[in-house]
Amino acid sequence: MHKCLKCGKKFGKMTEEMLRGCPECGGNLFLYVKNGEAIKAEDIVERVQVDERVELEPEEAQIESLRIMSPGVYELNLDALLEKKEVVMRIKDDGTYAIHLPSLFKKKRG
Amino acid sequence: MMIRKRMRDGFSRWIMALFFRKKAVKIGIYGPPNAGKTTLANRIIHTFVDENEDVGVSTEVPHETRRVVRRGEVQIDLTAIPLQNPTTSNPNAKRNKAKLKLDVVDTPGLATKIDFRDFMAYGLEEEEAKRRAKEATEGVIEAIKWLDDIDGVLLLMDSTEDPYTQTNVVIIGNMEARRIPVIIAANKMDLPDSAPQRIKNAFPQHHVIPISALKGDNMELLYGEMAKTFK
Repeated sequence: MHKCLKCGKKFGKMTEEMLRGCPECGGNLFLYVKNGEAIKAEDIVERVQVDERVELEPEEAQIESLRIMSPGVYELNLDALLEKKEVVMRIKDDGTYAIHLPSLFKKKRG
Repeated sequence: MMIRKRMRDGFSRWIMALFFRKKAVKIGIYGPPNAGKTTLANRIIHTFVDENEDVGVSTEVPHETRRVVRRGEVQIDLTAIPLQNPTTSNPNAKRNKAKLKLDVVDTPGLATKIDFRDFMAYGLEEEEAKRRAKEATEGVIEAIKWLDDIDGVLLLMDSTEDPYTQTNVVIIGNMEARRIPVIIAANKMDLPDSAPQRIKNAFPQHHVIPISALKGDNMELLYGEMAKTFK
């Protein structure tokens, strides 16, 4: 059943009304608990295990203007493409990069 | 003596005209995929150059245009423009004597992610879809590099879509930093879900003109604004 983490009221079934918040108190955090199980939010925190923290790369640190995710799937960094002259491609997530030299040497169009 | 002087005056006028001839203004049509950039480029050419000349092919498949296409020497002459749709015509158009010589540059749609699987939804085979994705990616880079040569940007948005996208925000921010004049055209105003006001609210610092490139609605307003902004 679903337990509202704000007021503690339990609901047998998730209803459409609950998608907008708890019908009792308006809280919008629910916990799914097995029938008859008494559980508090603090207990749940203990249960969750974080294997490793994923370091998110800050946006400024991304030097690549183009990332090739897999054949036919590309991610473009419009900011880098607009700001920088050169095109740097990131080929894999293991730190392989390619620099497109013609984009660096190309003369300005007349 | 008189004849020689007249000839000399005429000759120097001709030389002056040759060297100080006003260069055509290069206008880039930019925007996300499927906003209607090629439809608009074709309409401009049909109206001012030749009814049978197409800059590109427009389809419902995104990234149909994958190379930058430039059509030079388009003379926008508001006094000569035929009224395509009398109901939306601007009553001031006749008094507006503006003329403008343009190079129209149609560009591939700017996107932050290109995935071949999106093309397969339109019935393309995997190999063809992957090739298209590669060309589309090259096209985005080419379109951006062309900005160095552009004098003014006509930013086209689909007015049935949410305008507050990363692509739109990044382009507008960059145009402002480069001090390139921008006109936003809120395209597809003929569709029932069209909401040009959303675009006006999102980018209040710019002129937003609701148009339908397909039906030709409000085109005179757009041309008038172009003549004012890109002069």
